[in-house]
Amino acid sequence: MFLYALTLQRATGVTHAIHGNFSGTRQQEIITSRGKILELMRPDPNTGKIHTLLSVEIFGVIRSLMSFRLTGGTKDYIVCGTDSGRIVILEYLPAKNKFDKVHQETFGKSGCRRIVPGQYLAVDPKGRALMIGAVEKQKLVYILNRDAAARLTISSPLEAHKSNTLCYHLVGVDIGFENPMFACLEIDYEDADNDPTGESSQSTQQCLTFYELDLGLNHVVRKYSEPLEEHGNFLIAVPGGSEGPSGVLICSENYITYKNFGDQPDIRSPIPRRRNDLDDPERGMIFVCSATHKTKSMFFFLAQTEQGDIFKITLETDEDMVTEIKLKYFDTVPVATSMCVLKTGFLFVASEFGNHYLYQIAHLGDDDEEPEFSSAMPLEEGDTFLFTPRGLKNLVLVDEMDSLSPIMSCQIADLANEDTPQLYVANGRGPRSSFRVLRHGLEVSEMAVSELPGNPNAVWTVKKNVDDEFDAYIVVSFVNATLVLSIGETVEEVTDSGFLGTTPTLSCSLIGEDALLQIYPEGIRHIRSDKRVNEWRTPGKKTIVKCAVNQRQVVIALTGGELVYFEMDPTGQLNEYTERKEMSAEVICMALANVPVGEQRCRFLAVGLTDDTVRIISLDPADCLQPLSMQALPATPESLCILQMGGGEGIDDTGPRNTMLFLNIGLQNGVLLRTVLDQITGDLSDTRTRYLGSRPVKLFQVKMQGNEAVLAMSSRSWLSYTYQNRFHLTPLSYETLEYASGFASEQCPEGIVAISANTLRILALEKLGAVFNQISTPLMYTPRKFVIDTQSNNIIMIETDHNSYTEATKAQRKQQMAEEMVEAAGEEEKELAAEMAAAFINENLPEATFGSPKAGPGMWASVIRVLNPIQGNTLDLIQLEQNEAAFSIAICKFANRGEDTFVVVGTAKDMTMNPRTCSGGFLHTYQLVNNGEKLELIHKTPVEDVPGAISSFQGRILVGIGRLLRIYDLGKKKLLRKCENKHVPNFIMSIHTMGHRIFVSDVQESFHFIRYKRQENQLIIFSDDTNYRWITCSTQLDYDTVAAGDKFGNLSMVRLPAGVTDEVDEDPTGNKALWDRGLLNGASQKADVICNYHVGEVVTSVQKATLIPGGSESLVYTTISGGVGILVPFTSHEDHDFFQHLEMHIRSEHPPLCGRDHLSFRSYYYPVKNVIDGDLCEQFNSMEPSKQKSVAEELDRTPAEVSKKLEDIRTRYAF
Amino acid sequence: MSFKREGDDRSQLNCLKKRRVTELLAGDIPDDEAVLMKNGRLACLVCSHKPVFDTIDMLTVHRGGKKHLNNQQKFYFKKQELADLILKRRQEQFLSAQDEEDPTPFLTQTRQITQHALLTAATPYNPCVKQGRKKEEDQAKGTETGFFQRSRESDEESFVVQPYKSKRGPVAPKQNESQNPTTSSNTDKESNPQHMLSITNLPTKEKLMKLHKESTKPKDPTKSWKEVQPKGTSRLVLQKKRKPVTEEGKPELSEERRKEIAHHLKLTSSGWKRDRGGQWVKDEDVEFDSDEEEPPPPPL
Repeated sequence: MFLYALTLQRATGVTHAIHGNFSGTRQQEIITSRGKILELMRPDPNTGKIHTLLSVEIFGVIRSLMSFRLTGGTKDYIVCGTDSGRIVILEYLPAKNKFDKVHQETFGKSGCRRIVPGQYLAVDPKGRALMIGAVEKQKLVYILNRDAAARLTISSPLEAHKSNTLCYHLVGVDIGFENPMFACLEIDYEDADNDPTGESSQSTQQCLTFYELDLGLNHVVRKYSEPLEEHGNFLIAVPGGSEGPSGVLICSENYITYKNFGDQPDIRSPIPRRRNDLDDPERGMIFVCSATHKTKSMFFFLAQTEQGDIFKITLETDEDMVTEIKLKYFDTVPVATSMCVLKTGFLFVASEFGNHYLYQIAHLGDDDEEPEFSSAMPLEEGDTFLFTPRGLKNLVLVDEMDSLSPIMSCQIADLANEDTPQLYVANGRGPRSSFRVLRHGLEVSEMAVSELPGNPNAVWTVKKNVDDEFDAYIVVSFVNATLVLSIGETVEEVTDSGFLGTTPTLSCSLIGEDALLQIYPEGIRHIRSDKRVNEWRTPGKKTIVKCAVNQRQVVIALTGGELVYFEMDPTGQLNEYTERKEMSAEVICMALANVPVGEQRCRFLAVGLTDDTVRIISLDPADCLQPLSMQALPATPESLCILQMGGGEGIDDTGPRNTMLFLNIGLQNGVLLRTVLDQITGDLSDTRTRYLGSRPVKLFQVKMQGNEAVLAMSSRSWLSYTYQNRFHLTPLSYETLEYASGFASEQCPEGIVAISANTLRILALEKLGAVFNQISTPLMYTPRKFVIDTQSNNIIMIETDHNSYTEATKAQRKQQMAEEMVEAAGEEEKELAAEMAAAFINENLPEATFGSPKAGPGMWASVIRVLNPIQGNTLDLIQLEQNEAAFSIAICKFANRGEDTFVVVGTAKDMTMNPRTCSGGFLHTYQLVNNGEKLELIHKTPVEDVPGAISSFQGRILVGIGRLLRIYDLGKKKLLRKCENKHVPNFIMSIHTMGHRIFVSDVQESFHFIRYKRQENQLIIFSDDTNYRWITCSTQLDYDTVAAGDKFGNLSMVRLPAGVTDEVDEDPTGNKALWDRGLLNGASQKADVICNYHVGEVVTSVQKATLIPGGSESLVYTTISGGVGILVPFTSHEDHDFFQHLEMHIRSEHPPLCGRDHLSFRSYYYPVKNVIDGDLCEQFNSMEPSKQKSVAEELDRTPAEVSKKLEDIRTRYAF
Repeated sequence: MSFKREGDDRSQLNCLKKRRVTELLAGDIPDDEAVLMKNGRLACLVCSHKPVFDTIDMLTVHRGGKKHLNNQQKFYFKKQELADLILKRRQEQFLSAQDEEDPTPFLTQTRQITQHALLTAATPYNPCVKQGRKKEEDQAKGTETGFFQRSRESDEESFVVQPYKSKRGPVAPKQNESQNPTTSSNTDKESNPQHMLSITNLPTKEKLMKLHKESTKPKDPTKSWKEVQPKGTSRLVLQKKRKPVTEEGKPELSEERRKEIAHHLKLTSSGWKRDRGGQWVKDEDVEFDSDEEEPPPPPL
């Protein structure tokens, strides 16, 4: 079996974010790393929306990311520390919309190793040098410079190694134009390592070390090292030179300390804490991330604590000596991995879990009543400042980017009874977790819906002048009338537009500079800007049946198939061409392309006829109305559309590049054809086909993010557009539409006006490029697993959080604190205190932003929830006791209870994580009642260990309790243990069954294949796997085959070979040999590995599913970073052969961006086997055309054929 | 890669030849004489102390040994005894059945005949599973899996054993069942065709085949036809042919048997065991409801 791996949705969690002017213009951009993906985003300062410009998979792990700018330069470069053992400097080329690798220098082995640099990066603020460090020992410094042609050069590395030293953080100190200096948090463990008593390990201190790069001598010296009182977790460089006092801020547990060279004394301030916090007061508080904002006159830092509170940190100076650190509570946002303050006044917050946010900084918090804490305020040691968290005051939320990270569990089913299955995803962590329904399609935001008198046939929007930004009229055509609406503050009917209202309309548009054109069955009405009207009437009894119009040309088809062509002359007059053309059959549809920039006319007219053909007719004066080419169609055409597409995001003044003319043909059988129309000869080639729906396909040209796009309407509406150099054909998640047109107004700069039945709708499509649209339901705790009740289509989910309180305990704690508050108050303050206590009890800060109180290790909270996935409402919620944590769930029927449906939930009491211990577990048995809307507790069965997996099996249940596999039957007072197997080595993660065969996955040692013998009532392991696999999720593919994802990010498939028998017996002698008892040997029969593939992110769910109606089955997996991917089987040997060669060529012709070898990345843990990387193959489309050509030639094909094949295999299985 | 022999040392060659021959013959070990265990080893079932061997070779060596041959004699003697006993009981039963005043002697006779004719189809085990197995077996044929092949043959053996038990079905359905532990233990094995191989109680294959042919030939016209047919395709056609013959007898019979077997398996899988006296007792490793003292009665 050979598989093709495709990513449907790339990872959405962000690991690093940096900002700068990467395109060299004044616009600020953000670059994020998403594990193995580098993404460039640009916030639009006007709308506050973030647009993704480029997203590249690098087939490696991005461990650190920095931007730098050479002195005097205007453009920022990107440095990447990866697992490739190489340092890579990238430059963004806006013209090509791609990252260009400027430098790639090898310094060590590949892989994430302890002593190979790549984990830490620091850049000299003046862009003269950069330091790349490893977790232990090694640090390398590279000098950055320019050569004569002003190109960036990089020196050979200078070593700053120190053995037996661990590094915690690295930062470039700003010391103006003196020798570049790097500060580092280090621990020297040599003494501790050599001391067997362990005493010196207690006294080992962390040091702050400064490394200086002597530019004159060209070497690095360890300049100064100083032990620290507290253990620091990260450093913030303070602006220096002419802009500030220089030095560093050390963030450590509970304190932030300023340090610098020379006479500067240390300035230390405690980190303020929340007043009346439910958290353990003994728990230390640290800053987790920070952002620096610096202008010529001032600078400040925003630092976020692990509770999400942002503090604005400023330094008071007295002649270059820092005297005070001032902290002021700024606002609270979800805990971030990185924050970026942009010059345009935006704050980008890349959340640790869940959606990312873009805030506008409305106030700097300078002149409000919030107290400011200062290091100069006297405080006792161990005492700290207190503040009260509140809602957003200084920040305004402007945009939210959906992120699924972390996906905890996913199931694919069609619970909504749409023909396409939906993905049901439980994701997030703690109070920020949610349950989301993902549907393939673009999210549509409805801006307005209004009813019209009667059912309209068509709608257009018309501008008054070419240069206008916004549309002036909406024209709606009915069966016997035309309605003109003007667009302003409101939309209202007007009669002075010059359009004829008493007739239906065929087309309405702006023509020339500022004239309007209305085509109706009896003629053409040309309305000049000074309201003069020219009319052209049809000859005799003929009427106009179809028409095609662009900025300068008009073609109409009269009854009988006669074509009449008009062209606008320089005076703005419409002139009829001297000849008319008689077509062989009746005309069904026509299309004209837009007039290319700088030309007089479009040279091609496409005409669809009743004889199932489309003809291209020349409009060139040399051979006007002469047929150029013809294409026969499989069915009658319904609609045509010619437009220019392709090129890319990087549209600059030169206009779009590499664009091609495409002829889109909508057929009456619901198929859309997309054909390349040769711009010179008019030949048609490279046809791509896609079935859109059951109704005839109507096509409309619209603009999306400044590019041409086609809206195709069948029983479902689709948008065909280019996004990041790739063609997308995506359905809209919206009801059926009948007619549409582009729409631009002040409120909605890029929308669509459409009609559906008797309503007029104004719609906007914002999240272009998104594969799924999401409907989200918030949850209470981290979702662990869920099951679907197939009778009611409800979902039963378990949510469990470590380190948190249940609602009941929380309320109790609050009550207790309030009482303490009142008690502590003096006699006269009693009343005030009571009031405060009442306010405290009633205060309810949303935990999604402010986080939930941390209860300490070993404290668990858990709920069981019955959820209607479509409405998103909770039908039943069962809260478990404090410290009882649910880990497994299954829905089952028991043979002795007939048709009743039961839900069994496995819980552990007082569990600790490492080592895994618990004081016991329980199996809760619930009966599903009220049509699957309510859970009724039947009984609780105590068990010895954590029940990690439950599965229904032959009218009973199989439960994995720690490493024990047991069969339980339903009893009257508890579940009855009927059978047991103790030979699974570590911990059972999942159980699948088929017939008498049971597939058990162990947390560490892969699969065990077990046979249940009813006769002897025994569970016998008859086969297992030869490899260790730390399985996180698994699925069964057929009677002999299982697939699994593991915690190192691999996907593998394991199959029992043909000769394996499950008819094995226990030893009949009864006296087992001593050497036979051990677990080392495992089973005598071994399973074969048939596929191995390294995904690069922890795989959290894997299942077999069909994603599109009529498509074939594929293996769908989700990852912890929010990615969704599929593995699809090849159906023919030729296909496999083709893609294998393509992969091979791209590996050598287009190696990964950050220098990691593709083959070794995919073989990170196990050698890649029988899987072809579709993500790499699809990079074919972003290769240079010359390289594309050479690769395609090697495969005996044209580049268009190759990209068609790539598209085909994708659309056959997914989207 | 291939290993080419160098030189022409006779003895080595002979050794190899001998080994090859033993290997080939190893596949012929009747499956009631040895069993494959879950750790991949083999146990000899003939010898009373059930010795365990790592490889088939070792087992073959053992089987050539004096002790084993001695044991084998005893083993087959016992087996023969058992078979004779069964024959005797059958005879007694037949006579007692004759003694009883049968109101419809002809009907009973016809039923018995049809029952005979129908035996293969009457195997109560789920046919789907069997088909799946067959496929596996076909695949396995290429490799050396003697045990698999035999399991197929044993299907036919069980074909012969069955009449004795199932015949009793219409005559005296329940009483005999509880009295005679051997028969009921046979019935439950029946559900699992693979299982029969270890408990088939008849002397040797050749004998069996003979016996089987004798007993079926005159009565079953389809049998000879079946032997001509390729195995995989025969089932469907066979059933079609038989349908008219069986209409009255078969459904209620097999239904009942199925129920009995299901009941037996239900008991074993829910933790009941048979003690030496054939009584149902609780397995001490298994949990039961507190009021569950007796095994649940078989469904009526």
